[in-house]
Amino acid sequence: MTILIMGAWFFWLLVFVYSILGAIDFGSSFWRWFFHMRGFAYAESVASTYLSPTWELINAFLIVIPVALVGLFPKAAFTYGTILALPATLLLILLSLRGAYLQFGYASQRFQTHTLFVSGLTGLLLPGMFIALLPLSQGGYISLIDGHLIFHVKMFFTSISVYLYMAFGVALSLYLSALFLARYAQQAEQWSAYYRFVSGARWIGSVSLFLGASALFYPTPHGMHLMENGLRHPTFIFLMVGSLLAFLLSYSLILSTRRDRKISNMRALWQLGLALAQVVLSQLGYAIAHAPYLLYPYLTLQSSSSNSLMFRSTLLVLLLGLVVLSPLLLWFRRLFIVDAEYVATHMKERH
Amino acid sequence: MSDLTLARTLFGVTLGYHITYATLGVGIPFLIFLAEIMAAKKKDTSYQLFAKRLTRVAVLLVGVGIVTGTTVAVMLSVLWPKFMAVVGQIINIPFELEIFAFIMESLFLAIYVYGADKISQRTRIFASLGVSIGAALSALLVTDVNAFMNTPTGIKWDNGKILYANPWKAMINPSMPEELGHVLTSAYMAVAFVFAAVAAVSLLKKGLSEFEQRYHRQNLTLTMLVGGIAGILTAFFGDASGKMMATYQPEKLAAAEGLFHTTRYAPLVIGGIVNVHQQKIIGGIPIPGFLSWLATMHFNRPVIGLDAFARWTWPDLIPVHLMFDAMVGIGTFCILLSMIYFYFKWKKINLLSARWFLKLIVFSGFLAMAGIEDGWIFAEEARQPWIIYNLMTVREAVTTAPGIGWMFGGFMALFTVLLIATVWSLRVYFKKHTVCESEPSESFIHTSATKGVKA
Repeated sequence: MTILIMGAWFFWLLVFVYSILGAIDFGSSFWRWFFHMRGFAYAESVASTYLSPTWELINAFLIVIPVALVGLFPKAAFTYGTILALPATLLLILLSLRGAYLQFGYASQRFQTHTLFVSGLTGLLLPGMFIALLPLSQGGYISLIDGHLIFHVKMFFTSISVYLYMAFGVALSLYLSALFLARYAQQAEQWSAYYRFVSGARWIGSVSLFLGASALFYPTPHGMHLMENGLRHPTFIFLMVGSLLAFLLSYSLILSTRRDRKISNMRALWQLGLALAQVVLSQLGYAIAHAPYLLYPYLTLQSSSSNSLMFRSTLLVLLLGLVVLSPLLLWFRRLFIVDAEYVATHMKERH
Repeated sequence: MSDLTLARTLFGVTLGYHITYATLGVGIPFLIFLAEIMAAKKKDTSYQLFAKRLTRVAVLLVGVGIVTGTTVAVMLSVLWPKFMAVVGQIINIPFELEIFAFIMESLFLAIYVYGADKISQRTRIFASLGVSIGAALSALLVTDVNAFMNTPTGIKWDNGKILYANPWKAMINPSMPEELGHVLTSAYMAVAFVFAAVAAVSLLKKGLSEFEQRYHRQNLTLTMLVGGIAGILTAFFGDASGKMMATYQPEKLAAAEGLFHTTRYAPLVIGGIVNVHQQKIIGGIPIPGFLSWLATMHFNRPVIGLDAFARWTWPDLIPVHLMFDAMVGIGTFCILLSMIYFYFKWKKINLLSARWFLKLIVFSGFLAMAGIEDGWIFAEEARQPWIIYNLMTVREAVTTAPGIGWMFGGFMALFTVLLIATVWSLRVYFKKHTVCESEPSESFIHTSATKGVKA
């Protein structure tokens, strides 16, 4: 394996980790708003307890991605930076509003309702906007005119393929976060909240599968043919089938959950774990079908990579950084994510 | 307005906005750490109260700072894509390390705030130290990229093509030690004066209880001490920066002091308007030989003047000189104020009953933050027209994408909303949670945080 391929895998890993963390983060703030509106205080407080300590961390992780892109594939950063000037602005504004309002909520009751609304709505929209980068990278909406890459905004926003991806992003984020919060509620033995989340996942799960499959099969106009590329690799088929199986298993666990029965730890973990496995497998498949293009057909991994010294240093620094931080991350996880007592006591307070 | 001017203004406003939050985000955790130490050492719960109230501010400001920081990070790639293409080849390591410092800060902050009731006092001190180190490191690492822009090293460059790049050499560039030192100490100084001002405002109020009196006086002494010491260090690093500039960036020093011709016994001119036609400063107060001293440690050594450089590479001289003087002036004022405070305290003369002195401290809080902004604007303006000194101009780096005007409007609206909401939420919070209301023993960070979120 060349260093270039290693770098590409590493970058893919970062994007992948963020896509999961981000999906759970954004989805949770939507569910919090949703259950607040419907008056389900327990489900709302489960989402709140999870969101409060974690969102800053996840937002911090987001910045790893552009910085890693600049260090590993500076030409890709340059190109995306140029064509995405306006869409990136919109995304940043939504992200900023969300982050800021999550903080302002501490100040007063009145702000708190704004916070629920702003973070819930942006939490719903943002995964759709982030995922729109995928159809963009598949090409077709960008053309080279006089040596400049031009982004055809109108064509992009009138394309069915783009909206399929956006809808898929939103649905997947809601699905994953519902399962994650269900597991969180299960730890605290908050059964009424647990069933709220599971029934949310029940609704959105099949929708997300349908949208995901449609996005994959629906060809991007003038862009790359994902299925054609993918089918050349035997692993692609294997991964896609595995992903489907994982979905079916976790979804059948969700469907067979009975309302008035306690849920075992293992079962809640399997539900979430299989759903995550589904995402891992399908994203791997997608990566294989997408390689070696960073932006079809203008940027490949090879053509946009940095000089080898910088490339190596970037990889080294990022890997070492993650290793050095890992004990701290584990401590954080033990304090807030897997500590049943923390989850339970924080939910017992006034709602 | 041309796209270049728009892009510069937009980025300038964004940075100016972010710098306020970033400076407070560096300084407040340090004060929290000190307050936690004092609380443990003196077993005095009023320091605990100070730490808790500071934490409330920190949580809000760091959160908004993360948001504005994200904006800056993405905007760099969007507004200055050619600059970032170079950065990616040579000086990206500080950015990469910065993220880890930043993640560390967020982790420790979450542990400190949300884990408050689960961890021991020692762990809490450790967590607050972690926040403060993470915050300082992330500020320093970003500043290191700025230091590279001032004194680029480790790179060979020919017509837009990079022939040789050594990222580690670029990271340890000549202006790094002075600039980093100056930025960190000035942040500690400014934030200390901001909270000295907060204490002074509170002391100006009538009808304070005995506990409140003691609480605010105690905070005032702590912040004045931090502000004074950090101020002196800031001056030291500023002086070192002058000497660094004389060697590596003489054009910037000459621009700051309006020195047109290479001169021995060069004077330091305070104030005055630089006149480019007559090639001198009109109306300033010259102190003979002091610029030579600042630049070289000798009164008789020559200092290189602007005439040694091509005219098109001169920055805008009038504002640059005034901003430089304002920065030095504000620093000096704050240091003197702190010295006066401790002199009278040592003499056991109660200066705090004098309302004018308290008002002066309040004023110094505003001045200190203005000094930070002013210093940064000076540092960037005096490097014009370069974005990377002697390598790339700002004009070369700017994006070719259309629609900067829209971006500009969008971000101005966003920043206005954020600014109003920040001020408003701080006011609302502290109006509801006054010092006399909060029982020092109550663990109120935790409960108010969770109440705020869940109620």
